Amino acid sequence: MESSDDIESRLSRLGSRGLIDTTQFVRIIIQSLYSLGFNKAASSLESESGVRLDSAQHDRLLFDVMSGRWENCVSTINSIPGIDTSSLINASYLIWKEHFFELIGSGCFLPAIEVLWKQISPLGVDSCRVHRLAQYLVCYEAMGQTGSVGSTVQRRISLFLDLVEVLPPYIRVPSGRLEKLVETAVLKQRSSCQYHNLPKEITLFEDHKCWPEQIPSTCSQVLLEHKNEVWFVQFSHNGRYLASSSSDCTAIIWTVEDDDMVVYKHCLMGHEKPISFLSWSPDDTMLITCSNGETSKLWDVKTSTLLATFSDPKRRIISSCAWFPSSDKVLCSSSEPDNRIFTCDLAGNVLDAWEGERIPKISDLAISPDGRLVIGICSEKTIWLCEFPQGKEKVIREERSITSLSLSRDGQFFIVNLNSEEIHLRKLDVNIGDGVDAVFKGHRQGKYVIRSCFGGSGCSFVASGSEDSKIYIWRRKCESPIKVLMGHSMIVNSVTWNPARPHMLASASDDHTVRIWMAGCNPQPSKKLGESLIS
Amino acid sequence: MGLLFLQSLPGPKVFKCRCCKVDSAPHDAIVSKNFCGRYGPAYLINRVVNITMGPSEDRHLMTGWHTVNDIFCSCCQQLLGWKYEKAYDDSQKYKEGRFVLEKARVMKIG
Repeated sequence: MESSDDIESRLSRLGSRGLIDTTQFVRIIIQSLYSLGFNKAASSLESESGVRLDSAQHDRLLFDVMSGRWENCVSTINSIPGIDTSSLINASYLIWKEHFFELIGSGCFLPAIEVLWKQISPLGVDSCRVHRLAQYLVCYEAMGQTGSVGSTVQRRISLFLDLVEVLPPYIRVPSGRLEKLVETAVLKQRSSCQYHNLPKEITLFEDHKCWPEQIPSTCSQVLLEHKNEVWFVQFSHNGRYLASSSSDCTAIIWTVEDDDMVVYKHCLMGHEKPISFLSWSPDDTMLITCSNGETSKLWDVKTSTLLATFSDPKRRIISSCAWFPSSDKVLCSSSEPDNRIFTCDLAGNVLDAWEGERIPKISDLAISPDGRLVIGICSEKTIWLCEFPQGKEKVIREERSITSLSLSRDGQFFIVNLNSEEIHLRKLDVNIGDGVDAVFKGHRQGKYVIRSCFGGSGCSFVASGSEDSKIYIWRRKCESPIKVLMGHSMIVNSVTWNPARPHMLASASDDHTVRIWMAGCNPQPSKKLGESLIS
Repeated sequence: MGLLFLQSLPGPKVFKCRCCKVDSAPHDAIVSKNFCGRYGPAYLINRVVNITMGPSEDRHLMTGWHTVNDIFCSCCQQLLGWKYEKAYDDSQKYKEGRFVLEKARVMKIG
């Protein structure tokens, strides 16, 4: 059995930089062994290393508190090296207060007064507390309300626990300390991981690092079925379908197979003008297409039949629409000649409408997933948030024109694309201030409507199309893009990230194609080791 | 080419492009109605929307040397006028940052 001197002289500091004190390290190991239930292992570690879990002062203090030797307690506390004055005062106050209450409880009022006078007041604590203690002398029944019920033993145990909190931490190792240190390190690695996309188990055996290939980076498919510019593309909420709309006046529904291949399903024909917007119903059974300057149509996804046409008696243009979470009502905004926002049911009957001179022209509309908030882009520079049906409203002004809007899947945030080549991220809340939560730059936008989206696991990434035919991906905390995808030959109008498969991204471009981008796999570390062994 | 982002002007009186009818400028942004464009009378205007700008050129106009950019309607690419970027004469400095809109290329609505 090696003596503790040998241990300490051998390695008094651990770690590559000598930051860790060996005794402290062994103490937290012993404490976690005890908390895991390995009492024999813990006590044999204590005897083998000579390091005790609890310091000598700890044991003495415990003994004195439990036996009621208050003077000894105070002298023990005073003897703790390195204790600062305020902790000393707090600890002494706690001890004398307990003594005071016990004296009152046993009916010895004169000694209680003496304690209050000689020990507690000179401490210099807050005088209100001292006055309140004095009140207890007079009003004995009030003591029941301070929570000092229970037997003496219980009260002394709780006094001891309060004391350890006030005293410096080396008197007694805080419980769960080793677990807390490890968890902090793991959380820090995970949050500093730039490409953390796939929800992988974090292992303690190696530093967590995600490779750039874990976000969609290579083009796995090019879908050529459209005959003209593709303007809008979106995955369904369950990630199993993809819908794309084009200026060839058709919309195409694709199926996403289990092996991540995207296969043509139906073509929805019937519009006479280019389709600029489409929206999946929350239950993914229906699709609404809005075309530029014409009616909107409602389609059934499985059979691709036309269910209804929303046309307006005054021939207004329906610029955008949003589904209510119950999948039975739709909110639409229309304009020209006058502006109108209306709800209608699935047959096209108008249920409710706001119209008149004061209604602004809304170019983009969305409803939060819980159905409580409506958000719209009015007159290009204003964001309008409204609690539905009647509630608080909030108007946020932007400096430059807003071209498009996108909500995150959890309904907490939204992003807007601005004409000034910025994307602004804001919190979706009526009560929030006007400040922007985050700004993303780097893409190009000026003349056209470019759409962006949230994506990745936990919606921690933002992706956007751009007028320079590239796709930009940002991490939500960082202003510059972490990845730029090249492959399209003309401007990328819209991007969408699969909500169910965070490794899949789709993009629509003026070069008549829809491209599917997939994440690659990690380079194998074991392969590298093998190579170095051979060489 | 993609879905063009077209801004719409709210006011009762606006100028629209004669060819494609998109909004070009609000009536209340007019500074002067007595300007001379290349093809006839023109307005001097504070603000125009839905335009794309051409490259900077140095041109000798009736009032002296200026650096100008031609402006085109972003929808139909018609030449609508130009923007004054820099004036070399002190008396012409007030024109900087403003636009000249040819009357023949726009129509007044409202």
